[in-house]
Amino acid sequence: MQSSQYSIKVFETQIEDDDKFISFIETNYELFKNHLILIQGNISSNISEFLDKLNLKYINNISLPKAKKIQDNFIIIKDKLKINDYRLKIINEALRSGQVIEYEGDILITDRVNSGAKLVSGGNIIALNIINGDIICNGNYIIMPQSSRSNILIQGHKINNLLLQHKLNKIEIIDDIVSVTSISKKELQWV
Amino acid sequence: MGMIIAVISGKGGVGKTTASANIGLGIALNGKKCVLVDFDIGQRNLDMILGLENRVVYDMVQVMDGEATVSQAIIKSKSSPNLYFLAASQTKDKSVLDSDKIKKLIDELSEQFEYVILDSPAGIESGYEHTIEFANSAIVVVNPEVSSIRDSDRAIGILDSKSQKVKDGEEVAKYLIINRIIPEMVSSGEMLSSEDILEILNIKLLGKVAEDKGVIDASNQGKPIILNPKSVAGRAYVRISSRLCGNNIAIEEPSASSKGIMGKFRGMFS
Repeated sequence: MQSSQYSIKVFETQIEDDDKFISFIETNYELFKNHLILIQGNISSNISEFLDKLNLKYINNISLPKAKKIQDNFIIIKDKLKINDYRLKIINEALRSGQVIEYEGDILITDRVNSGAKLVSGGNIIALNIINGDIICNGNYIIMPQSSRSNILIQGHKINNLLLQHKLNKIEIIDDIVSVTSISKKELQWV
Repeated sequence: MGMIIAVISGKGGVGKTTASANIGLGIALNGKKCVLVDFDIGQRNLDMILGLENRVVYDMVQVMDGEATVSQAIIKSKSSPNLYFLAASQTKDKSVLDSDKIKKLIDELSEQFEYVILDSPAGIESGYEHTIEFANSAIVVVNPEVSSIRDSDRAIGILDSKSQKVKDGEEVAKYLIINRIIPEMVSSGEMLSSEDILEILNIKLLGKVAEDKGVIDASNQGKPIILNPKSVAGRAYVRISSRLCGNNIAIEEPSASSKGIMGKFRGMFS
């Protein structure tokens, strides 16, 4: 009897989201070429077609014999940043009380937003001047200076004005938690 | 064509009508022919402040409807031969205003007068929009308090979008009067400073008027405060009217009107 022994690398996973799985495999294809993929749970026809197309070997619902778990060095893809096709809207004049600007994309405003005015965006908002009006941002972040009077909402979260401690603050929601960081970095002192 | 100035504020009770009366009279005292038009239909007050309430026969609505001519309806002021007044209707309401009729009336007035001053109603409804529609400049009256400033900001925003001159691609000149300043409260930081207000509203400063108790008495008597050379507000309006007539006069910081002996004594060391 002729026999051979191999030690192979197995990548074991469960598929929660088809699209995420596909983009994960695509990104790490070079590594997977030589792996055996073990998928626990059901495989949709979509996934099996995709794996066949790439010529990747996979097995389904098998409990592995005693194996050594090794550190992987795959690239885990973060949720893609929301990208929209709208151009940046630049506003160079002050918004007076009662004025409302609504825009689906990103907004840059260089002048004041007065009390009673409202800025609503589908994208990010960058405000460089004094903000006393309402800022409603549905994008990823707001960059704005300190403001004690403004009513700030980002992705439905109300921002406490006291959090804006820096000259220019970047407000974003990371894992459902409000994060406020300073945009301006300390200048290096060269000797 | 004369200068057509709308006096606006957004909020009521800041001193629009008082400012209109005093500026109109001040311009007239500078030797320019001026007409004051009360656009506050249904709530006319300017006639009382000018002391002309018993002389009103025809009002501007009757002129616009063709029931009277302009020369029949305008009333000559008691205080200056250059000042004329066209009263608002007290019995009608703002819904009677109509753009075409207003344009005709204002065109006619601006041919006869060098300055046409329109006293706008408070608020930002149709009455206000009609007042600013054909004006070529505006005087914004504010009090140094946040609510007044926010309302004026709104009024300026509407002026910048609804005025005929803006629709024609030009800009309406806007001037600011900060009224009823209490200098002690400004210096103690309780009242907004003029710099803060100018920063927010971003228009040219025409003048600062200090709070003056004499204004109430002057209105009650129908003698605008500008006729009283002892009053701080009166002197402020003299300077404002002179600036509107093209004279270059420096802005004066309002100081406390009457401090009393102890106040003056303290003032010497402060």
